[in-house]
Amino acid sequence: MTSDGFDGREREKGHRDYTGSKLGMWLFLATEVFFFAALFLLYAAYRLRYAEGFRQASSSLSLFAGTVNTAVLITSSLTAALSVAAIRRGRKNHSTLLLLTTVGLGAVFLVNKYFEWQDKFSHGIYPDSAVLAGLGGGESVFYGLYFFTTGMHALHVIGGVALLCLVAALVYTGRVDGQDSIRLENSVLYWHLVDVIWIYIFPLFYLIG
Amino acid sequence: MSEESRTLRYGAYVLVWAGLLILTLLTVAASRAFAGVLGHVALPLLIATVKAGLVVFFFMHLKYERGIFRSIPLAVVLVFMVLFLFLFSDVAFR
Repeated sequence: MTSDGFDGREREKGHRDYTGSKLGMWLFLATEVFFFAALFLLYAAYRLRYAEGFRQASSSLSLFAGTVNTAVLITSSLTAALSVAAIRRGRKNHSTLLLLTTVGLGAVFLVNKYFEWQDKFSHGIYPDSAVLAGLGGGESVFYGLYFFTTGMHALHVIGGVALLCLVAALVYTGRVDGQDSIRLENSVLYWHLVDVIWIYIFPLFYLIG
Repeated sequence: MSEESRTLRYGAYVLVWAGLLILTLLTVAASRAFAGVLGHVALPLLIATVKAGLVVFFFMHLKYERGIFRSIPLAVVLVFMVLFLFLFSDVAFR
């Protein structure tokens, strides 16, 4: 280990291992990727088997809603990254505001997702529905994977929003600052990962129809 | 972690963001323009990987981290590729 803990980021109130904290976060993110990777492998296996059914089911998803949500999440990643840049410059209020913007964009993403799901539900398409059971094998498998993957992703967005709210309060009250910003940096890393996962979900589910 | 990442300009992040938005529009256009494997598998996944790379290297600062940090995403990608190859070689040739 290098002298990271002694370069000024270590505070008097207790031992801080900057590198260790960040390494731990990256390892956790790796386990998160494997969770979604398993779903993507499942997707690959079934898409090879039911290419036509996947294509048909995918074309019924709203490309517009999916594209807008991709742009929303990418923009939220920008504001999250900027909040770290701001705290490193000691701009506490900027950082808090950028975090709250990120939270707001996360909420927009979830509302958009809610309307997308609601639209499918109103057509009788939801897990274990009669309509779904009546569709061909490929389409019901596609929707099963769609609801589970986007549902798990939405839970991660909700978790990220809660985390960023908490860390925004820490930044605002000065308990996270330019000298000790690892809790902000790790929370933002988590948010970026949620964005990266969506970057793959988008083409896999929306762009094959 | 180097000092560079502590002083990365705001403008650099905005440029990466603009690139991500352009690539998003590009991937939608590509999926409309090209049929089959090219438009519905190869190009979208290639563009998604470029986008993921931009997020990981710039937004997540991996470009400015030391080697040990880079080894984690590298390991993840390698393991995933091995898993995918085994799965593909089984399922695709049944």
